[in-house]
Amino acid sequence: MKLKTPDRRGWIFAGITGGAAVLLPYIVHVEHHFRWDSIPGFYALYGGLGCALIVLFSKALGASFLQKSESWYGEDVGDDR
Amino acid sequence: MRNRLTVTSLLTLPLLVSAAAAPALASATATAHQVATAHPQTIDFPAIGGTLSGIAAIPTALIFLAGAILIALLPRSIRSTAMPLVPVAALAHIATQLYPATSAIGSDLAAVVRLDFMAYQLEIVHADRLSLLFGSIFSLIGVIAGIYAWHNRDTRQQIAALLYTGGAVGVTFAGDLFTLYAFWELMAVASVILIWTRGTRDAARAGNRYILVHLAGGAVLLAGILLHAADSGSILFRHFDPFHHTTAGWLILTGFCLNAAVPPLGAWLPDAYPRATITGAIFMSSLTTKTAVYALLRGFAGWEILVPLGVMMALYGVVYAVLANDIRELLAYHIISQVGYMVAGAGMGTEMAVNGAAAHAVCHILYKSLLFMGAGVVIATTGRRKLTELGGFVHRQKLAFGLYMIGAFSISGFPLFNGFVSKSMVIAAAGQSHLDWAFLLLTLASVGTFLHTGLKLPYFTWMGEDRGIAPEPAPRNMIAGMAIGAFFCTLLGVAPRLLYVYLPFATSYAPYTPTHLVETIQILLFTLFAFYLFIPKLGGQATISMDTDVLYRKTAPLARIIFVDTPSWIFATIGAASEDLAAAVAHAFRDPTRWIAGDFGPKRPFNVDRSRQPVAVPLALTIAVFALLALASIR
Repeated sequence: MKLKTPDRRGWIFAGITGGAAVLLPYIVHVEHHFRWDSIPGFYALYGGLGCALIVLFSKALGASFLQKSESWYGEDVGDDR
Repeated sequence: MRNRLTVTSLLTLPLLVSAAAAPALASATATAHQVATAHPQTIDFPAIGGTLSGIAAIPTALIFLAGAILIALLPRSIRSTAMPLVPVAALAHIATQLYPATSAIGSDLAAVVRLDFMAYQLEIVHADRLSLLFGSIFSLIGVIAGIYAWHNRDTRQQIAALLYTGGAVGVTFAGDLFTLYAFWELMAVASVILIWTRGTRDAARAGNRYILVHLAGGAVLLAGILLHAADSGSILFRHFDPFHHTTAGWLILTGFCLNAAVPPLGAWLPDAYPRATITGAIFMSSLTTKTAVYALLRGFAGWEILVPLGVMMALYGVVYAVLANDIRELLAYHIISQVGYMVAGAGMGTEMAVNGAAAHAVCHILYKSLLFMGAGVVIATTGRRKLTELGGFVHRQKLAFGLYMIGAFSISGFPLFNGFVSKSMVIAAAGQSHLDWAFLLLTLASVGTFLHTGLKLPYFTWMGEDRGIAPEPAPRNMIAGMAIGAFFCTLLGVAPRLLYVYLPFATSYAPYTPTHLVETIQILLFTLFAFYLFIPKLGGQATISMDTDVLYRKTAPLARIIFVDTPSWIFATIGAASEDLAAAVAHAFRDPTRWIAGDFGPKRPFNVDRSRQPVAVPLALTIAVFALLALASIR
């Protein structure tokens, strides 16, 4: 799969906001309730990787057997746009 | 590129605002983040405290039923205006009659109205904190959706919508299973009209599937109710013991799960909702599944199987939303995902989980209806409904887009919006119950929610590739309905205590803690980054996704052969053979004298004189035999 590479402005924007988000727990007091809470930037990683996982897993499922042509059920499509 | 930077900046803004507002909000609320600080408790719904009388004793659902009749009698020109007034009257009844009456009895007790019915006692009204909360939000959404539908002069839809909302309110206040069942089926019958009245062949077929599935679910529910009545001798709708499962309980649970769209029983939802009328879908997205959530909370809180089912739902909807091309189908799959949180909350069964599920149902109704209203504006003004056909007209529809984004921020759980204060309650309840796996998976589902509803859908619908779309102006009432929904989404996000004080159990839950805010900001921001990278992969594809409805849609031709065509052929064949036999017999007995004469040759003309004697003799002998028998019996 070919990923779209962000341009320089995009990287700067992501670096500043993402870095600030990861550093937030070191600025404000946060509580640790689960064992993974002590991993620095855990929720940032979870959000980013989770998103990637959802997209790739769903697309793979779709391509393998879930996605069908719009006329797969043998019914008219597009008569009620 | 400009569009992408715009959407990135737009979406980051609320996060930055919430980060700035976090300290103030956190200090304004309690400091305790309740994860792992409280111990799960077994829920205990209120006991009956007394009976209602006077106007308070009138079932609120009757206001909707009377309103539906009244609408039909009014001049067509004022029906649209009168329609939202009916749920206003219901809201007024709840606020001015039921709440004060139950408070007078004791706010932690239930107030009821009972009637004798054959050998059973009906409880036609059961008002406690849980039913009052759901009854209120169903009525409120009736008002909002009624305003959104003001321009729609189709009386069939207006009456169906009122009956449907009345059915939902009736289920909510039903204290016995017979009353519940009656309103349950009213909902099914009224809601299918909101599909059929779209007037297309596609909608007609989808409506047929929808009503058949719901009637089958209703039959299972009725079987459970009758079995329960036979077993227990009571038809009162009370909490089913999670540690003592019965066949009746399982049947009733199955009926409820079908309406809650729990897979594999939930394929009816993404099949039907995208094909409903634009205004009808607002009611549908708000009522059926949430009524089932209410029923699950009331009857099956603490049934542990609902936890994995709910978590599975939350992820199931997310996976299918990646593949969806129809914008309302995408939103429909996210109903399944969001209802998953509520079903899981019901399964956890602690006070915090039940509170969270109830709060999330209220918030979900507000933001999901807002999202469907936004999608409805797009379809109504462009005539298009697929991501592959939309894009590039945000500058022509800024207001609708902005209001939709408030719903998107809400469902995604952005701070300052209502999803943040309710979804987190369910997830925190999972942590409180030491269900770490549920905590992580529900959090993962929330990533998918933001990805699709907050990013993919608005980006590819309004932004994305410019397809030269020039949308017509949206009716002002549609925008007004969206604005009211957006107002409530924001209000409850900023002031969550306005919601929390009405939850079934008293709570000190504080959503705006530094911990929760930091977690949310990290998750949402990095989901946004991942979306940015995956944009080329996320565009719509002109396909449909196979769901469990394949079992009855693909097998329908075979079922038709087995249950319709084959019996019809057998009956037709037997019928034709019978007719042939009768014709042959008639032909053979037309002139029996030919047999006596041994004449089997060519047919000869009938001659009455030649036939009279041979016929008359046997007849005379027969009469003589009967006469002798009669004489013998006299003697």
